[in-house]
Amino acid sequence: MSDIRIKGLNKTFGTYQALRNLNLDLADGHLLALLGPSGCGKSTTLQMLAGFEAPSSGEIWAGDRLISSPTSVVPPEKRGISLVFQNYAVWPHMTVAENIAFGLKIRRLSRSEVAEGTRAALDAVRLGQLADRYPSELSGGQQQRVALARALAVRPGILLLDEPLSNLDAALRDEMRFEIRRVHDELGITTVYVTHDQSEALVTADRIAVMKLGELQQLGAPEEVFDRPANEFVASFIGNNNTVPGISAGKGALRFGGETVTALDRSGAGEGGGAVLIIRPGKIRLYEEGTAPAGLANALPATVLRSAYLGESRDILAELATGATMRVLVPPEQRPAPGDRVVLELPAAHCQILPGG
Amino acid sequence: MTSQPRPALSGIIGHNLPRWLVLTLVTLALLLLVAHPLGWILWNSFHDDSTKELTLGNYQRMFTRPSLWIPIVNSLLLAFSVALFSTLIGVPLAWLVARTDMPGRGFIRAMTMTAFVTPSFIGALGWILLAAPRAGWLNVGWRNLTGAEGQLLDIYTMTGTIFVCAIYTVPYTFALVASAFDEMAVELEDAATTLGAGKWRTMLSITVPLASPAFLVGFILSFIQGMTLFGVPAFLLTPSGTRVVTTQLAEFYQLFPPEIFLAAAYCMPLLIVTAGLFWIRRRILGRRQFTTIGGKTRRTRRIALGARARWLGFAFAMIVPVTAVILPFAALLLVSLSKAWGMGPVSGNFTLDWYRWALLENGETQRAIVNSLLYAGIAASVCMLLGVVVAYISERRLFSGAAILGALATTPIIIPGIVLSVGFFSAYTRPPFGFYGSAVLVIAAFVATFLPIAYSQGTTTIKGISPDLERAARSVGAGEIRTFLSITAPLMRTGLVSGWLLVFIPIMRELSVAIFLVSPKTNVMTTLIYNYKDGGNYEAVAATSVVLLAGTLVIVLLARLLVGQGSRRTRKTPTTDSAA
Amino acid sequence: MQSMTRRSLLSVGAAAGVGAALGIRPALAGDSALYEAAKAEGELNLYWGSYEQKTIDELIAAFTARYPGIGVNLLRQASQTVYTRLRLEMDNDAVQCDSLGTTNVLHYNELKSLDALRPYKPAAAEMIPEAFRTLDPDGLFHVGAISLICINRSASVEGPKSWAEMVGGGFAGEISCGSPAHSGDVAHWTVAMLAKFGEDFLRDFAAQKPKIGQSSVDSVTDILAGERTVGASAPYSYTLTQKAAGNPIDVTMPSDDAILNLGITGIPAKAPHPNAGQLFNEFLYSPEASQVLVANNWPSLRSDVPWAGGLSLDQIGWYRNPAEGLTEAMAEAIEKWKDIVA
Repeated sequence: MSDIRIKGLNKTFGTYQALRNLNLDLADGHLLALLGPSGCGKSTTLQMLAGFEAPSSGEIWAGDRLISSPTSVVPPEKRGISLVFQNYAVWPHMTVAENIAFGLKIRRLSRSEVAEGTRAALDAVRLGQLADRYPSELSGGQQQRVALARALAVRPGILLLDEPLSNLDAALRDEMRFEIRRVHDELGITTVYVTHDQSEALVTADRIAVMKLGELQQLGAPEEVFDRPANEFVASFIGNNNTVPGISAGKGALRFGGETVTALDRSGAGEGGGAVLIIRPGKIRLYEEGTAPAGLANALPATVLRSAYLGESRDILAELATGATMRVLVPPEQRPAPGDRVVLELPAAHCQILPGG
Repeated sequence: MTSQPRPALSGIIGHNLPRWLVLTLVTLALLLLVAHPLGWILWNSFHDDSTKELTLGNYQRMFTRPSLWIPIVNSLLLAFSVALFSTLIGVPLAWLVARTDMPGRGFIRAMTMTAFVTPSFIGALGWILLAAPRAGWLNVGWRNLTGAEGQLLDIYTMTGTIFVCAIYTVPYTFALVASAFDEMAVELEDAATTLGAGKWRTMLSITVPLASPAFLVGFILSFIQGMTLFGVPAFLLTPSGTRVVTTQLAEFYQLFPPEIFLAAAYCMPLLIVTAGLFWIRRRILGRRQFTTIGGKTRRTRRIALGARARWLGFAFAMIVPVTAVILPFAALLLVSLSKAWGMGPVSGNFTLDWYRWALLENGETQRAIVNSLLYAGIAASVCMLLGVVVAYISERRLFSGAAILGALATTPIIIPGIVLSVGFFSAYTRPPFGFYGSAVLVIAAFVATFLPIAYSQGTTTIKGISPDLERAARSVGAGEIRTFLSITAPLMRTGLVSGWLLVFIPIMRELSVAIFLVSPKTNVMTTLIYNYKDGGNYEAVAATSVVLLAGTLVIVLLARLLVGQGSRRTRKTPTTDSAA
Repeated sequence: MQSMTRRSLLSVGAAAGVGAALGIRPALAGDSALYEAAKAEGELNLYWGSYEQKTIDELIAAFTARYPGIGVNLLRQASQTVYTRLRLEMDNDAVQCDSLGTTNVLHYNELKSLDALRPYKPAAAEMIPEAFRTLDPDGLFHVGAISLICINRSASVEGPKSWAEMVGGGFAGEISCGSPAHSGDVAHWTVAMLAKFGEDFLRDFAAQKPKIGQSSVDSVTDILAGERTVGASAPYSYTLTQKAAGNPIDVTMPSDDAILNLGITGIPAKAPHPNAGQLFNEFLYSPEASQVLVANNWPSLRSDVPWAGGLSLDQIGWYRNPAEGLTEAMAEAIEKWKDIVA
């Protein structure tokens, strides 16, 4: 077990800068999710953590051991870091048990130790009865469990997961993300989990690092990232926040055309400066024109552009007077039709003002 | 797992030691096998044969004497025609076998394989028996049938030579194109069909264009075959006094005094032309050259030809089996079973003596059989080992500049066998090597000649194995060498065995590389047969040829059987990388 | 590899068979110092262009029966080819050849000028026909085969009776011939024809549209195949051997002289097994070797052993190219051939 410290990490491929000045600490036993869209640098970071790529500058420390720097990279097999791949990478010419035992045999353990370790890893992922099957006889989810067991069997100091669920179908994905969290809770291995799916990150991680275009956007606990996004990008990437540009009307107030909305101000914008209002679609209340209570604060008139029935709710797209659009989730009993004039109430408690993009 | 910090520098060397060791060995092997002999050819070409002094005279003579540039023109004509015809036959043949419901597909595949196994100069011998202008059995038959004078066919012509070269080159084109058709994803065609394209339209606008890189590669390989074949033009063009580059090269060696340095210079046009072709291929195909046209399903849908077209197709597909296998081997078999072949197939002329002689009595034949199998086996194994390691290094980009190793391993493909053998002779007969007359020399030359095949087979195989499978092993603690041995190598098994066969077979039938390098003790079947022909002993030539073909086919079948049994388990699993 | 070498060219059984047929008894090791030395060398590499496969196989079998314990390796290729091999070996200081036997005296002139031959005096020299007893005053090379070049023909035709008749027009499209660039026999024949008849002979010959192969035996092949009916520069012995095997072919001794070309043999100075080489070369003059030669229709190399059919040199008309100026004459003949014939 060990903690991870990443210091000033950069990676360039030719003229393309895949990663810029990444600084990141992960405490021993924690699970960090590297979250971001493709091209954000999360996979590059993982490759460097695993030792398959050398950094262009910066250092990676595992505990008190410098494992990566531009001049010295401890090779993957000497790092004590296990990696689980998006495409499982389960060896097709070995049985499930052989796959898992491989890493143990490398360590020249005795026959009984290998058998024991294999059994324990199989049990940890609940695959005991499939030990003698070949991978071609397993489902995708089972193969991913094999990959996980194989990575865990060697008792790594650090476990890396590279989009481990993205090749699975939705139902399995839900199940497996709890499974990963459960295994992590049981074993307490320091884990880095790369994903582009915010719900996976929220469910599994202790800490989330949101990345974009090679730069770290925000690092924090899931609640922190979810509730207090550092910027517009994080806000829209996590929790599907509406982001509406407006003009600052002094601290805590943002003007949209003629209307002003008050909100928690984290923008630091001076009066007259540009800023962005963020609010999640589910927090907005919608009133048909004329039904809004009098004296409603933080209310903006809008026109419905689209209405979609989702079962649990109705997904409304509405256009403000400024031309900006907002998504609103309303109870299914409300039935605004495209073209209807409505009033949107943005409760101040759920509104935040962030610096303008 | 030790977790104490290590000093950085010793860490680098310590971790990478096996890697550097392998790289050094591989680089050394490539330099010795390819660069060294080529260097000698180049060096020799600038020296005068009689004075041994540095000169440009060889090149000057080459371009000023018509008797020297006419063979070059002849070679180009031969090569282009061979490439054209083998493409015209090979591509439709591949399509019929791979994508239609033509009857007898398995038979056609097997016979084309048999044609591939047959040394083309033995085919030429068979065709001399069949289509010599006056006595050729086909001509005699035609005359008897029609009462006509003159001849139907004359094998001793450029046309005859092109024909024989082409039918034995078709298997290359066929193999390349058929595998492109085999591996093409059915979805790509279905996409066109769902847009309303008919099956023929789909074939012309989707299937054929997708496979066209294979056509081009087949054309170029056939062209090179046409440029570099020696036995066929030696037997078929000498009677009319027509020379091509390879026979001219052999003549330089047989002149008195031999003009060996002039021969070295004479190789250069051949090298330039073939190198140019590869450059063109690269320009046209770019990085597409090895891309498998991938999709999830590998099952292809066959086009129903309709009753008449099926049999028409079958008739067309029988061209190669009939002309390259059935007819020439029937002729050779008949001669090999004659007491005196000049007497013709009459009763009392039948004997098995020549087989008894070849297999039981004649020590030279026995030794050559053993040598052929032994050398081809060893050379194919070494060749595959080297080819795969180089392919691995350059495919996984283990070093910057790994591509140079790949280029070096590909170079021999542009060198005609006869040229390479000359280079090997110069490079390894003198001290400190002194390998002349030893099996090492012959085997090394075989390895070098067929390294490009091994390398390209290795590359294809490795491309089919996701690097993640290896990374997974690294991440649970296996070093590079261990990973290669426990993960990569077993996964490559099927590819390795078929690659091994693709090297073994051409070695068994290779003549021109061996002809100057063998010694009495290291004679192989092909050189022996060539020498027997030289001595006019047709019955022995025929019997030994039949033995060579039978022997090679047995090995091929055994190897097939071996792969067939081992690979069932793992075949289903997708090992290809998903888009990442 | 040792056991394979020891297995020698012919399997032990075949060697014993030939030995028994010829009544050869093995020599005893103590018989001669040369055999002793050769046996110590243990091996012998023959580079021979004279004699076709079967004859040389039987010569080797007889040799092995007489001198057990010496493994014989044979490289039998066209004379020019084996000579080129030897020259390449010499250039690279990797000589393997212990006995060179070719049909071209120029090879030996050149080797002599390079100081690359090892002199020896055959013990049975007095048995060699007198005309060929001392080919080289220094004993560097000796007669290895007597090759007669004549006309051969399909058994079904009469064929020309003389060289002059052959190019007279009656056999247009019927003639097969080897190439002087490939075969020493054919080169000798070309020189002889030029000497006897001048350049016109080649022009007349070319007008007959001959089929040009490589070796002199190609004429036999073409006649047997029915491709042509007449062979120019034809090998006397090999043709008769084919006839004896039952093939429809026969020989005509041209009335204007058969051309005699000597097969020559010598031992390279750097031969790895020089004593074994000498032992083999001397064996050619033994009664046992003569028996093999006669059985294969070759002129024997002993004046006391008549050829097959009771023939001998003094019963036929023959012509041999003079040794002086032969180098130039040969080169000129090949050039003229290329200009006029092919």
